[in-house]
Amino acid sequence: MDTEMIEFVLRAQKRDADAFTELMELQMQNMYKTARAILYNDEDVADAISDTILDCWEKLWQLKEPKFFRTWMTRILINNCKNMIRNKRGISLVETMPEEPVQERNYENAEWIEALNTLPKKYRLVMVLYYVENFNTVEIGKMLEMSESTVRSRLARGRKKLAGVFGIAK
Amino acid sequence: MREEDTLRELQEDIVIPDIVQKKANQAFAQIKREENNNMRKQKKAGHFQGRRAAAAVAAVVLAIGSVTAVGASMHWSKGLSKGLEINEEQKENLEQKGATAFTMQSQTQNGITVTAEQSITDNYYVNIGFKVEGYQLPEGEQPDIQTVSYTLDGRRTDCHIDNGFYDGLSINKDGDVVYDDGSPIDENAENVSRYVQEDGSMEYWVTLRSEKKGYFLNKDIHIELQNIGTVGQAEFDETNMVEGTWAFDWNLKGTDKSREVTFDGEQIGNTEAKMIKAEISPISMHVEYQFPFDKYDEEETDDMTVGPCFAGVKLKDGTVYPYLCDGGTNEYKEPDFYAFTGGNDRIIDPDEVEYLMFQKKDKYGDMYSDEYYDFVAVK
Repeated sequence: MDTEMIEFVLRAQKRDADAFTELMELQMQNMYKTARAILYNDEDVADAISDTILDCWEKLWQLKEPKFFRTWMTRILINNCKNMIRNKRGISLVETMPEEPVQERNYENAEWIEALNTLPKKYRLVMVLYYVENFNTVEIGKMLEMSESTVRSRLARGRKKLAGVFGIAK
Repeated sequence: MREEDTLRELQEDIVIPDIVQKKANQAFAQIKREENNNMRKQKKAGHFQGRRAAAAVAAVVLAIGSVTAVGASMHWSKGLSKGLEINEEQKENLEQKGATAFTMQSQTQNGITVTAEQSITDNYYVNIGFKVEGYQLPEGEQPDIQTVSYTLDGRRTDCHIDNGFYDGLSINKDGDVVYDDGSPIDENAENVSRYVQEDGSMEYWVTLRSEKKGYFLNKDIHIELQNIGTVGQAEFDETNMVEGTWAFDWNLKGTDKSREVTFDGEQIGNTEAKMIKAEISPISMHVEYQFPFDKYDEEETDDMTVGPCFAGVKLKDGTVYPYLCDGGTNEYKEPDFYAFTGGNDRIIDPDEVEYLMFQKKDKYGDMYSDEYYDFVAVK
């Protein structure tokens, strides 16, 4: 984590709202990609990110080491995404859940979303956190509350499935 | 889109959608207002009010079944046979070595019959095959079991467990991914997996791993599979769930025989790692080498900051398996001991292994060229 980011974290911990806003704006790409790996549409992603921003502001004083901010923030985001899914399941009975995820008309990111959908569903989040967000396997394990070896297994299986879809280069 | 292109595309910056930026800006504005007013933030609630009606979830009545023994004839689990790409000769070898236990116990609950078919056990791994009948998998969905729990000799353990449904895919001799009947996959299809077999059943596998040598051998296992459903966006989805607990007991008969190779301090490429020994089994690999412990930074642990990462094997006939093992377990002991234990994704003949392959540091990510690996000869 670079020194500018650490500086923002330290200032935000002292309740500097402007520093916090700048800090979180710098995380928007990361948050969007991670949330989109879990949730199917931008409306839900927007809610999850909004909740995460508010949670981070409320709990930032609990973060002891500023250099672990990204890991800490991403864990909050993942939990918010999962809570959103659970809440939706619990209150959706009378209406029929859509059979297909609601696809946004997000033409600007169409290729990115197409690439994302290529990743095997079960391993998608781990692969995004590793290959896109550059977290290491220990950090991912802590975020997802699984052992490092489980993370490595999922990465291995996800890579294999992805390679399988495209064939092995000769 | 090739695999490398996919990963590269995902790493590109994207345009934050308006709705996302707008809600983020609203959160920022709220924070600034509250801070200006010196008020404590109240978290927003009720995102789903008006978007979905509230309702209760219907419960499925659980009918308790009993375990029955299925016929006297033993046959190999299709999931294990296909998943580990075991040919008939290898099956015979494994049986002769005493590596496998045929269980053939069935239990039916809520119309779903689960049969524990067999286990294959060696010094470090257990592979278990189950057959699942009666579950109607919705089109395009990936099946899953919600919870798998087990004990060994009546005790819970902290061994690593991995599991999943067999997806019907394999790799032919040309390196192409095909269905297990040899037919080609449709690369344009969103979902190429084929979980449901011709007879309507599915195959489920469980793998256990321990870095303690001989840990599983001849232990009594009690294993329970709970609730069958489908994979949701990030976890088990209860929408298509059938409740049930299918429990089985048998002994993990297996073999402690493997090809043990002791090295003379052979260096792994240009790294500081020096080989100690390797244990090559049909279903697992155990590799030990020396690597200076002060190079290992606990805070920065990943494949590249510790010793070279074991990748796979090259056989005497030139066949290369660069993805041989699952994620495996890494073990570090001061001052300079490193061990990797991993499960093979296919059965191999230990006597046919000519080289061990280790991933080169700077070439991580591209997995299909010899130049990206260091090769250590196995004598």
